[in-house]
Amino acid sequence: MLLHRFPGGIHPNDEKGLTAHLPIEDAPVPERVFLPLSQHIGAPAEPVVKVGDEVRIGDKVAEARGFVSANVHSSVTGVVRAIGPYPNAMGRLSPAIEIETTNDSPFQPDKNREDVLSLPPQTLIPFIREAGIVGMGGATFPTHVKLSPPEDKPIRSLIINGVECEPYLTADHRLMLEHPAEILEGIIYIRHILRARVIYLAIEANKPDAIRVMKEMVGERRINVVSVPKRYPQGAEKQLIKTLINKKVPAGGGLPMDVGAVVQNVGTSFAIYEAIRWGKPLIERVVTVTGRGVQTPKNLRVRLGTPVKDILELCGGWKTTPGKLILGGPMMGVSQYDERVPVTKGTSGILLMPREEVGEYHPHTCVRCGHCVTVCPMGLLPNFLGIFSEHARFEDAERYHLLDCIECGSCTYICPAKRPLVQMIRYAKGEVLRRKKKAAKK
Amino acid sequence: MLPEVISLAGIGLMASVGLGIAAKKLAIKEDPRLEKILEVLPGANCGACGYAGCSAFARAVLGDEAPINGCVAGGESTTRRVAELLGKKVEKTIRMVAVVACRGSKGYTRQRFVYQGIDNCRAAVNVGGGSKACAFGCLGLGSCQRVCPFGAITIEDDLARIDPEICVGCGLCVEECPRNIIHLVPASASIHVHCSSQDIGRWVRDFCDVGCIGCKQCEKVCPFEAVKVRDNVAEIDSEKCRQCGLCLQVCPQGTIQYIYPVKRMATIKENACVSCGRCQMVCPFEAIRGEKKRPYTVIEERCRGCGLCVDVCKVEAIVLREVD
Repeated sequence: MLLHRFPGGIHPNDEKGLTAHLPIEDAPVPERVFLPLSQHIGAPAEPVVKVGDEVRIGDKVAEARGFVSANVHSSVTGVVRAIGPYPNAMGRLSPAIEIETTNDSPFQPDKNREDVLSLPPQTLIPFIREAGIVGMGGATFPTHVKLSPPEDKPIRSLIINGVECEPYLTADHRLMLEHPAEILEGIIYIRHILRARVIYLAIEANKPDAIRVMKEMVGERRINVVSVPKRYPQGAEKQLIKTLINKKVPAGGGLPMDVGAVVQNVGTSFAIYEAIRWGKPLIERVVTVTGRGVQTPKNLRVRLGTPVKDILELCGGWKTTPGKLILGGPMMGVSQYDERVPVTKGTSGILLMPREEVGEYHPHTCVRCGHCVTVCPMGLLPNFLGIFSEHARFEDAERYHLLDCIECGSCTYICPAKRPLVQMIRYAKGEVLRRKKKAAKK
Repeated sequence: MLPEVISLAGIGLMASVGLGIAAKKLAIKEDPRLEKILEVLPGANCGACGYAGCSAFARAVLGDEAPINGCVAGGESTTRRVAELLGKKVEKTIRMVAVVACRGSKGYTRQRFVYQGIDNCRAAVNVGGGSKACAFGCLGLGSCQRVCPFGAITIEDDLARIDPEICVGCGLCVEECPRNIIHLVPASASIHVHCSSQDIGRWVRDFCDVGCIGCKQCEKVCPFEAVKVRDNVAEIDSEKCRQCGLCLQVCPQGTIQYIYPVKRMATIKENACVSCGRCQMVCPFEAIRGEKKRPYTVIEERCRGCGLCVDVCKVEAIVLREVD
């Protein structure tokens, strides 16, 4: 099919060879899990258990507060030991539920809904909501919200995102190879919910095996399995929409539903299948443990709340002098200093970079080369946004569409002056929002 | 030659007459006091008064919109002069200074990781909550220093220090600090708790040598009940505190410090003392001795200048004097 090009983009080494050939292994059940109450975008969940309570695997331990929020379920059978502050992936302490495992039995589904497609679409959304499913690509936006578009915005195109454009990560890739039938079933459920007319399953061209497997699985069904060119950030929502249906999501807070599209990750489709068909809540996910710093790279199915430390032990720990430990991919992931942080719903990878791969940078002034402008996939001017941020000219930054930045990191990657542009932009965003809040108060 | 001179002179004459008329007719009437007030104001345009710079404040004062003592930076003397110009009376203002409630400089507080990024505290807290091990400590990247219009803040060893002599208490740094550890305090109070950590003592010891561990020794020793440990950190009520410095001596972490040393001492005027003994009874340090019918005396080594005796003396025989 005819593909369209989004502006900009970069071509980092994808480094997926480290783990792309490794089948998904089940990680052993950890001794303790730490389930943060906020693993999603939106209001943190409210605990519904007390210290000392016994919980079974799949029991709800924290309930969504408000519409944009998600439930949290126990990923092990055990006893609640504490509810209190615990390090999170953002480097701060946030409330989490600590559960000590007493029994490592797997989740036993008590339901088997075979007649899903005969149920009215609206009745399926509560299943997804109940299971606490959020966007598994990393953004962790509650899925039930995305699947409930307002009446006046009909969804024409459903885009399933199997691009996985972040270097190193292979979790979605392996999932497509090993669970194509489940993913397809999930896609069919989502189509049923949204009544979408056109369905795309986008996979980056560097995963020919996944494209083949998914094509075979789809067969004669009206789902377009599309091979999209390898370019970062091809898997970003707005860029993918532009590539497939040649529509631009409006700037200034527009959503994909404004152009009649919904994008869902393949991991989310898999979770939706499990939730609707078997009543299984989101209690585990596939995590790629990779990088040149780790002894044995692996693709692991990990219980949510497992501390990174346990996973590192399982993979033999550091092979070299530690440089950086990143949760997520190298472009948008977050560096960690504490190995106690738990795997959460949005953790797609654990990346260990050896000391020699981690450079120390001393930023210069902008040399006005314009590289960042050519690579920005949103068509922004990161050079000016950075300069405005440095000089606290936040109104000017806002005029230059600061808030439309998707923080993909392409500009920082390409900048020859080694300017931390994403950090500057993120800081400016924070300031703009803070000032707006302050103005609203007055 | 002549025609040129005449025509040029003519043009000059016409233009000057035109300008003269324009200056009279198009003149904007301004209160003559405005310029005088502007001369009195510090002219730093710091914005601490809530107006966009000194001239906006001056206009507001003239229009009775702003209080006469609105200029924080200028302090008492400016207020007095503004009041003179406007012919108004003004109540006494309390001079405030900003204090950084943290002593955790490079040598004292551990670092969790190497921070490489922009030198801005607000941006740095978004990166894993800042590189300092303490989640309440000064990040030392100088955001406060950059907003200070008076140059009162310096960054030394990753810690902001405020010179109380230069600080005028405008509060811009207080607002800028992402950790909220800069406070405005009355300039008369010199003893402050230089820590904001609400972590429990064991944790504080782990990552800082000078943090408050909540041991409550200061609370116990204070004769004036001015110190309270709340949320694992000591708090000094500057209204109750009498600057005796006992808490400072017992603090095992050295968290409580003077911002500028003031040593005061009581002296009893011999000829005024009526030997009533009230001062001796009230002195928490047993620094006054005396016997009946003779003037009481102060034991200088013991006196801490708290001034309780001054308050109780009915004949005003005791004064506090500053000593070096």
